[in-house]
Amino acid sequence: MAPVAASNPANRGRDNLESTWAYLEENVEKVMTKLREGVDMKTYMGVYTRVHNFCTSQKPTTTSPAGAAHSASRGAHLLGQEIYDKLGEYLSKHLAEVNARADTHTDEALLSFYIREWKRYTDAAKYNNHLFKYLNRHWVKREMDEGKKNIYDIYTLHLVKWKDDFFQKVQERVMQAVLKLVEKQRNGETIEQLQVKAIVDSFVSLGLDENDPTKSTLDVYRRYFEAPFLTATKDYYQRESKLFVAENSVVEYMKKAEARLDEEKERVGLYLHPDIMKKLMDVCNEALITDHSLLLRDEFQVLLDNERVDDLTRMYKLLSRIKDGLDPLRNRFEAHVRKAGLASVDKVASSGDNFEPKVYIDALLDIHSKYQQLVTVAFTGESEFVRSLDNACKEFVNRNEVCKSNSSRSPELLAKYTDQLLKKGAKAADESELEDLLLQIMVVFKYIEDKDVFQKFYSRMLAKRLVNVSSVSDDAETSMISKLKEACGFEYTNKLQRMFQDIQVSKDLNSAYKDWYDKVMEDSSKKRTIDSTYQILGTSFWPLNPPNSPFSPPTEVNEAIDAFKRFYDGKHTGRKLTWLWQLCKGEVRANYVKQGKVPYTFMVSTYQMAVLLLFNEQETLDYADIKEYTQLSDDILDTAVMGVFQKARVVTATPEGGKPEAGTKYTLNRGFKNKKLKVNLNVPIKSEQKTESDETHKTVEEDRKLLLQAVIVRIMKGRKKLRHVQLVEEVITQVKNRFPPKVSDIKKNIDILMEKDYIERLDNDELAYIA
Amino acid sequence: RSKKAKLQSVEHYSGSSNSGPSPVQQNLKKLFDKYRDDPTNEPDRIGLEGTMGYFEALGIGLDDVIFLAMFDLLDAPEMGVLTRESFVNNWSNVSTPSNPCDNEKSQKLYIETLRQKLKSDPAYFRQVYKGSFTYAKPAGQRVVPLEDSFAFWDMFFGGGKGGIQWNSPTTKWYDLWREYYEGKNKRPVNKDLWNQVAELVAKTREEGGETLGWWSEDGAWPTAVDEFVAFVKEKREKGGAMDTT
Repeated sequence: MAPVAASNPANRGRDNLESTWAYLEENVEKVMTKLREGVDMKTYMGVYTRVHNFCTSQKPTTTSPAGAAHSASRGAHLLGQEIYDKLGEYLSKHLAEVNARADTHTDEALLSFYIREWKRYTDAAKYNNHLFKYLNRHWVKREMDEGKKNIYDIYTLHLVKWKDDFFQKVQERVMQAVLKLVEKQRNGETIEQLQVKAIVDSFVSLGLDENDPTKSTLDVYRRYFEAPFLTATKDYYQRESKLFVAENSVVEYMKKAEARLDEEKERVGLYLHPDIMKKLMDVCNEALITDHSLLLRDEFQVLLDNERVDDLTRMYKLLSRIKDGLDPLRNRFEAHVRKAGLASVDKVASSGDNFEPKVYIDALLDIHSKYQQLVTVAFTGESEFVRSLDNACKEFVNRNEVCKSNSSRSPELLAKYTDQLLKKGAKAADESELEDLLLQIMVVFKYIEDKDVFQKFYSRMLAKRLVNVSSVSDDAETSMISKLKEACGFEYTNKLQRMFQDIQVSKDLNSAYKDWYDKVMEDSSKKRTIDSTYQILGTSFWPLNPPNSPFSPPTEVNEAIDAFKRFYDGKHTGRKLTWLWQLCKGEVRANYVKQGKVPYTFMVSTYQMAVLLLFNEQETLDYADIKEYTQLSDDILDTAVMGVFQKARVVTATPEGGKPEAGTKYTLNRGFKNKKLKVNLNVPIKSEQKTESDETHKTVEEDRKLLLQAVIVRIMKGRKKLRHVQLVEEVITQVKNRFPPKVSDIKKNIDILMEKDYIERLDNDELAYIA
Repeated sequence: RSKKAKLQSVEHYSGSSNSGPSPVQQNLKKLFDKYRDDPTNEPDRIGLEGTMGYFEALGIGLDDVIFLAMFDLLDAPEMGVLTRESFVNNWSNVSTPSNPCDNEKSQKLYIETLRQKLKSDPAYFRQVYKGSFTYAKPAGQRVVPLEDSFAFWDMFFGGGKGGIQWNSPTTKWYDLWREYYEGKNKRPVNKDLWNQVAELVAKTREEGGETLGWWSEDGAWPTAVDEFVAFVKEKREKGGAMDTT
């Protein structure tokens, strides 16, 4: 439709426009320049009314009655447009003047000018928006509803005009001034920060969403403020850091960088838009850290060597800000800890093979706790560093100078140390101290690969503690077992727990036996000659072997055990008791020594007891007779019995110093003397301990074989068919918490199981279970 | 394979049950009777002595793979033992109207084709080799004693009659195997290793197989093969004499 119908009313309309705009312009100008002086209500009402009248004036001029409603809307449209355009033209003119004045200012003066003008202009814009409210409500709204582009409400129109007619011309100079100001501040001068903030706010306000005028975007701000700001920041810090690094130490540089990063972060809160935070930090990180990361990393080893915890913390914090910044540190850290661990062990090993287990374990723990603390303090306990620490510890705990010849030395020594702690007699730690020490043991235990070896030694030593009643406390024993259970599961500690139970059950059994004995044997003519207690140990739970020497117990002992057997058989049928003579012991009183009122008491093994009791019948005995009576094998009789007796001068040999062989006669020494009244003759022989350790290692090998086979069969039984590679993988997964299996060992056991017809080969690399 | 042969024999019997045994079968039974060791006590069995005689008549030597191919053909239950049922069924199965294998002369002709097949058909060769485990091991045992293993390996892989010459111009594979196994391993040979030796031989004879590039630690080989490969590699590193590249 043509904008104006060629008719009389149209001419009237033009007159109307001219006069209306003249009135409006005068008042808009007043608002623009003299808002401070105030606008009276009369003017306000006048402008509002003129706009209203203008917009509605053309309605009756509509000619086509058919499309009355439609035409009416078009009429208003046309009239609104004219005022809108006039206002726009006015603003452009106004801003051209502003721009002309801006040219006379530079730097901070320019900023002041821009900010002042912006304030004045936007205040006026808000006022004008009110004055033209009718236009906004009707004409503008309709245009926008119809999807017309480049039509804004009156306030926004002001902003658009500002942006196009002033901002575009001046923004570059404004930003230069801003950047100069910020650089001044970075150089340590005080600046008027609020100026920058006002500029930021202005730039943000100019972000108009073309698609939705009710929304704003950060586009203008990002393009004209943020981008140059970031570039300038990057340049500044690249320049600065380069110079600083050239003249200062790395540690000083880290402090500087840290301070700069804090400063920049603070800057955002002070006068920048929060949107810039991440990008600003990225730029700073790149210039301050990434560009110097090689330098920083090179310093890492130095800091580690000198244990500079604060500086390490600083380095961690800095490098954690950049991508993949920490990976190289982790590797170095791991290598460093491993080296430290190995060195610590070397020191222990350098003084020969006879170190105390405690010394060795402490050497391991020292390194661990030292670096664990470092990880916690300097590396905030970050999980990847924890993992590096774990890897390093695992390495030096399992592969070091002490383990060089035998990889299972670590678990053996750890078990021995545990034994020393849990055994009575050693410098007994108090309860909480002991608990702490046990926790420490678990730290090392966690890293031990051959957990099965530890288990073997531990169970042997536990058996000894229990049999000899030498545990420091039941609570400590239970505590340790439950820790192991927690770490390795029920199966791992099952036997240990059963052993513990057996001892508890045996205690009750002994008191029941005493009651029974008193009742049943009271009338018996047999007087009780020895006071005895018994432990019943389940064969399948205890790591104990039957005695390896024949033995004929003395009559006194035989009578005692016969009585006990009667009692025990009455309680349980079908149980076979095997007497573990080598573990039995007792005390005998040496009534034959005349001196003193209280006789000596000898603490002896049952074997020793058997020999001593023979002297009740005869003062002097030939070796051959002793052998005949006791049936003991030579190795035991010669050293552990006769050897000990001779050395302690319980007996004397004829000929003097005679070897333990037929013809040598032994006589009871009635002149026996000792400082103590209780004399312990039941001393372990060194060589026995060594063979025991060897034996334990041997059984470990055998058990591993059995475990591997059991696991292979279990897997194959479940899967029926499986590729060789997968089988090997699964076996490793299932076994590795006990010990790290070698692929070749797994293969060997697969061979064995094939030979035994548990599994067969289907084709070259697929195996099947044979049901 | 032996199951398959039995199935065939059932068919054969059911096919001829109406009309009675065929002439070929009649002849085979007579031939079988001729070589029995102990007709009174074991009327359906030819023992070691009879088998020797029979093989001699057929021109088969005991140092030749062909005699194991014969055991394979005739489903011998153990070394040197033939049973009537297997003998009659298997020979009549391979009989054709033009060559009824019911007498020594025509059987000799058939055996000639087997000799050719051993040379030209690796799968058949492997079948005979793998089947020979049963004859190599003492009855009732799971493994073949060391010396017996080598008696067989000599035949199959030592370049003996009817076998493969495993030694190659660049690498004396069989000699190395012997050196390793007799010198280091020394264990009696189980069935899996027995079978896998054939695979090992085949691998080394593949295109480029002599470099041992096909071997990997994670492979499914029996330990003995892994060890042998390590043994060969070590030798090569030391001597370089048998460099195959």
